[in-house]
Amino acid sequence: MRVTGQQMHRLNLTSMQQNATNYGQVMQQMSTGKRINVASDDPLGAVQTLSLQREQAAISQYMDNIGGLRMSLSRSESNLDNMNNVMLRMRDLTLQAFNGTNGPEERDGIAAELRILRDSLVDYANAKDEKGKYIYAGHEVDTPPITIDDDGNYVYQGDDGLREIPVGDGSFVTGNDTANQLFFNGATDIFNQMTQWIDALEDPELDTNDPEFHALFEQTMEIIDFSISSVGQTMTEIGGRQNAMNLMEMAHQDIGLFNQELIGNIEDLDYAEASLELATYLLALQATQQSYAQINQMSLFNHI
Amino acid sequence: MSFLNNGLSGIHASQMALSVASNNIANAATPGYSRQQIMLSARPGGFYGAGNGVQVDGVQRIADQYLTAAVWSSNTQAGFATAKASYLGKTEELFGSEGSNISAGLDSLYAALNASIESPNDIATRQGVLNEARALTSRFSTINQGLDSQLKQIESQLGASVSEINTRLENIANLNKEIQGHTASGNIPPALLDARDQAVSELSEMVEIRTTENSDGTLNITLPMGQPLVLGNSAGTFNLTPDLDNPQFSKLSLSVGGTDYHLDGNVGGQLGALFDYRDNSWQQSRDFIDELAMKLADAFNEVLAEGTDLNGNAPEMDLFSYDPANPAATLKVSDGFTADMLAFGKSENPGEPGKPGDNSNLLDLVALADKKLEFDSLGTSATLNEAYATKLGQLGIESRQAQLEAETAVGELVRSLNERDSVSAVSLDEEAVNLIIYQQQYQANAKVISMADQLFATALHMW
Repeated sequence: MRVTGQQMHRLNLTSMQQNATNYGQVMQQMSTGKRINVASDDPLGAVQTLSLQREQAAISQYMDNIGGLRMSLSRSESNLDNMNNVMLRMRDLTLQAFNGTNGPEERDGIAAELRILRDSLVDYANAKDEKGKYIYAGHEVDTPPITIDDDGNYVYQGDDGLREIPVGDGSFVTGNDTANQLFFNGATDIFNQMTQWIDALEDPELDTNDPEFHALFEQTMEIIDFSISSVGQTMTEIGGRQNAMNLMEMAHQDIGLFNQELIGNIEDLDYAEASLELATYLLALQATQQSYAQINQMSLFNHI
Repeated sequence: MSFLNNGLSGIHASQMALSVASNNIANAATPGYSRQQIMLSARPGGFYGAGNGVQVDGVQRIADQYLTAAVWSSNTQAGFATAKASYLGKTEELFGSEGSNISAGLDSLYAALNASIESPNDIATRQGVLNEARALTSRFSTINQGLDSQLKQIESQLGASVSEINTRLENIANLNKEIQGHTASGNIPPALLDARDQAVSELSEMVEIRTTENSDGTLNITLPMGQPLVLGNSAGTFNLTPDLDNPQFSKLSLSVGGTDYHLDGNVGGQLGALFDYRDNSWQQSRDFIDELAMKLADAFNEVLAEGTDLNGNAPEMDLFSYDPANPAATLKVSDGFTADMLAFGKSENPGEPGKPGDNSNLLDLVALADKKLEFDSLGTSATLNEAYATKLGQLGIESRQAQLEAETAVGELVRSLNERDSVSAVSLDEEAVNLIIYQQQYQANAKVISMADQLFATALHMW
């Protein structure tokens, strides 16, 4: 084959351009630390990364939801614990008030404390969270759940709405409990019952041997015990939800780490390999430049 | 004294040969130059027919029409593939860049919705949802603007290409005319042929052509389907006119000698690549981003319409609005839409007001992340996020394919140029050898003349 200068120039030029392009590409990969910088670098890998990233986004949303939920359930737990303590004190005082040795003044004193306890139980049931919504009002978060109606009775004015919070693919955890379900499940509730009991204790004419008084005592104790067990049951349930969320969170963390590793495997650059490539392209580029310079010196015209 | 004449013919021939060699050396770097060779033959006659010196038969242009045509064809392929790869590369960058990545925007919107799940009545987190919804619409508008400016670029490049092609066609027709004028004499100047081949070569980068040489030396050029571009002395003209069905697009036609040919743009080369990219990949990207904008807005609006706002009422306004004629460009959060209008609750019975702490409709909104929608532009059903990933993957594959095709085509072009140059390009070493040969020939013939002179002088002395 006849080889002309044009071919020599073209051959060396294409080779230098190709090596420079490859060199630049590896440089870019090394500066971003990524093997895939545009989808066409590895279309399948790019799509795989994208879908793994979406899964990561979903997982981090679930984890955020779990974090927020854990805080609000803990808040509710400590609130329920306070209610429990109040009701245990109510129970002690009720037992104490029933003791026939009490005179009217002692009963008055007990009644006064019971009134305070009742009001604070109402306060606990009407608790708000950091965003100002009533915790135990169901969906009626702007309305205090427990209030006194025109007839002077305690009534529940929330609803039975529960908020389901997604914590995993198709997994939901209930985010709230209602005062209705805590206290208004039986024939009478603890608030109105307490009012009735306090009224009875404050009656100066009260005959402690009156069977009606006995019946009222029995009923009051029953309702206190019912409410204590209702609150206790809810606390147990919340504990169960917390456990379920912890398990869920651990699973999310595992999957998240695994995905992160997968993403890394697909898109992260192997620096050792890349430096080797870089060195190879650099060597090829230099070799081409040197041989081009040498070939260019070779001319018959230098000798005639 | 015939050897005096022999010597003279030798001197004459070597001068001519040196002139040809020097011309080759001078044009060693001229694009499209074909090397020339002197044609010598022994002049008959002389004593007993022993010969009568050397004669110059002419100067031959060393060109192989087959190899030249191969370069033209490779030019077309390379022009098409590199233009297409360059546009596809830009599109995949547009869809893949951080600022316009719809997937990332959707993630942020879903995250904001999730943040409202526990306290659906909280106005601050509701505002967060609105902000992310706005940010998402601006990602759509970034992609849309990118596609718009790409179309403008394509259209202006079409205009420039067409006028360049028309100039080339005119140029080739003129060269045909000049060449025709020399045919009668039988001596067509090689420079004219080189100039015409070079013009055709430049033309072949822009459009795919077929050529036929006529007996009068002119070259006819047609499109592969036979529409004539250059017939002898007359050149056709390409025209761009706005497409009446789609005024953003221009349409290609060709007029030759009063006849108009409508062309579908499938003309190969750079020009063909512009049409091919515009009518296929670009149009698909536009259709997709429009459909995605529409599907997103409709899906969110539909779910929100089922719910109740912060005041418990059915929503009076859609969250997203767009012009169906141009969805991606016009997608926005409706004017006057405020955070309290987001319908996160749901009324339990028709007509009843919703409750502020109810998140059941919000859960339906969050569930949109996993809802498969039918995408005509992708020919498959996918979630909003999957649809975007699929599109990005398609663009990546297309772009990768185009890059490989461009590499192959450019490699093929280099190969065909090398083959052509192997025959037609000037080799300086070869010309150096020629210089030496013809210099020696000149010197030797000068010696012959000087010897003839001496012999003549000797003969004169005899008297």
